[in-house]
Amino acid sequence: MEKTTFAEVEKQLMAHLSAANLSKEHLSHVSGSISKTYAAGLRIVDWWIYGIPAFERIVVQGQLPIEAAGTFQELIANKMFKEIRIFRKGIPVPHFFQVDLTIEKITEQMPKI
Amino acid sequence: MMSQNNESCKTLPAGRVSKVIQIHPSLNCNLRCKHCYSSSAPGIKKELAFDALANIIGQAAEVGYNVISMSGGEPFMYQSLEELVRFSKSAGYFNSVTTNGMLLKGSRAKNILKYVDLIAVSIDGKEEMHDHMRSQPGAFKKMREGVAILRDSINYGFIHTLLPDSWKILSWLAGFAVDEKASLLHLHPLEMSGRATQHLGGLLFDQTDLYKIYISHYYLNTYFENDIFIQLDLLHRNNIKNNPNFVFHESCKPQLCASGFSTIFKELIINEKGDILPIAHGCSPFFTIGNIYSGEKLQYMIGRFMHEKMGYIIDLFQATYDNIMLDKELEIVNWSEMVIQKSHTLFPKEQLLNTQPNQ
Repeated sequence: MEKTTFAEVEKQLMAHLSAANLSKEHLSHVSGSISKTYAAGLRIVDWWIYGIPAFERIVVQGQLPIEAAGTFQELIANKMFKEIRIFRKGIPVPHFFQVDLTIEKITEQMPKI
Repeated sequence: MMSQNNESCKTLPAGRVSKVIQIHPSLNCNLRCKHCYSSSAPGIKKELAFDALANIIGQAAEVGYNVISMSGGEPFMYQSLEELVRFSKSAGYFNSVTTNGMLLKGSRAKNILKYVDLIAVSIDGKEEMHDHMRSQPGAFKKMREGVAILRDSINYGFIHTLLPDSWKILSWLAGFAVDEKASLLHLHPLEMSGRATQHLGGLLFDQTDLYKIYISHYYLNTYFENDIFIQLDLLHRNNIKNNPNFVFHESCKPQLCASGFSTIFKELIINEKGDILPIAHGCSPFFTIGNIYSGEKLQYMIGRFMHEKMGYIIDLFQATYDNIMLDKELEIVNWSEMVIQKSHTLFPKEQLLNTQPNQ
């Protein structure tokens, strides 16, 4: 995934947030996911927004210190995150996790148990 | 109060928690902004006496306060500003001044800036919008001239009053602030009081606007992380739920003692009348701690406040917390403004004469 360039920031954000098909529920879902991500102690380092025109999917990349690994349980239990990819990072000794979180509204697609 | 976005203080040396005294020494201003919550305007001559202010902020340092935040009106129109910032600097305070940036030329401003650690310049958007909100053509150009003076001489930032559609200009604002080498962009939602009620009374935030502002803020904060700190005075309900001590929740009520006062109330307000208030400007006068002209010792005022009003403060915070938790529509909130509004509902001015609040 390439780092977003400055020129793309305003264009992307405006295009996605101005989209006519962007529902209040979806905005609520994204906001809730962001607050949970920060509450989990992740330092967000980048975002990728997908979908035309409204964001249907957001991937946020964060960093989590190795000693905060207990947070993973909280993230995994959170239905707002469709996909969680975790990589050990740090040279020469791994000292943090890179966490890629995919935010996508999947709650209503999940079978009721 | 703790910073609304739960970030550590970025203005003081590492390890120091900011405990702020926000001073409104006068409502005198060179502008008549449409969104002004204090109805500041030109020609208001009344201002707080330097001696009385210095006396209180000297005592407040002993209680733990360490930041002076000058507001107004326009602080650079306050006659004793230089005297005051020089005094507070010598008392060990970190000095910050919020200004419209239009009065920064000349030797007086230069002398004042020697004692100021951080300047926050208010900005309402691009030139046309800024001049419109300030009711003054040319205000944007003059503000930029002021910024040019600050840019190479002092740590400074911008402060923006959020309107419902501000999300449309946030990325422009962040880019502008970075280009102007500012270190801070503070986003504070419009408060519906003072002149804002007359001119912008119809402007109400709905949750969709607030979601967009909230998302934009985090997106921009990530993108500009190495360039600028972007502070948003809005909270997601999850932030509040996860920090029950923030609202003095039942499970973690604060110690009711005067020595811990500045830890509980990290912001103390001295308004244009000299009243000392907790929480924020505009809080119900029921919670007045004292007045700078009363001659009372600050410790005594605090002791009396803790004894007589602290229980009501806990009730007020708890009621606001419950309101947010029970109303599923309230996901993104301006905690301070909600507390202020509730303070007037539960503890109205006339309550001062009675004993029991409107519970």
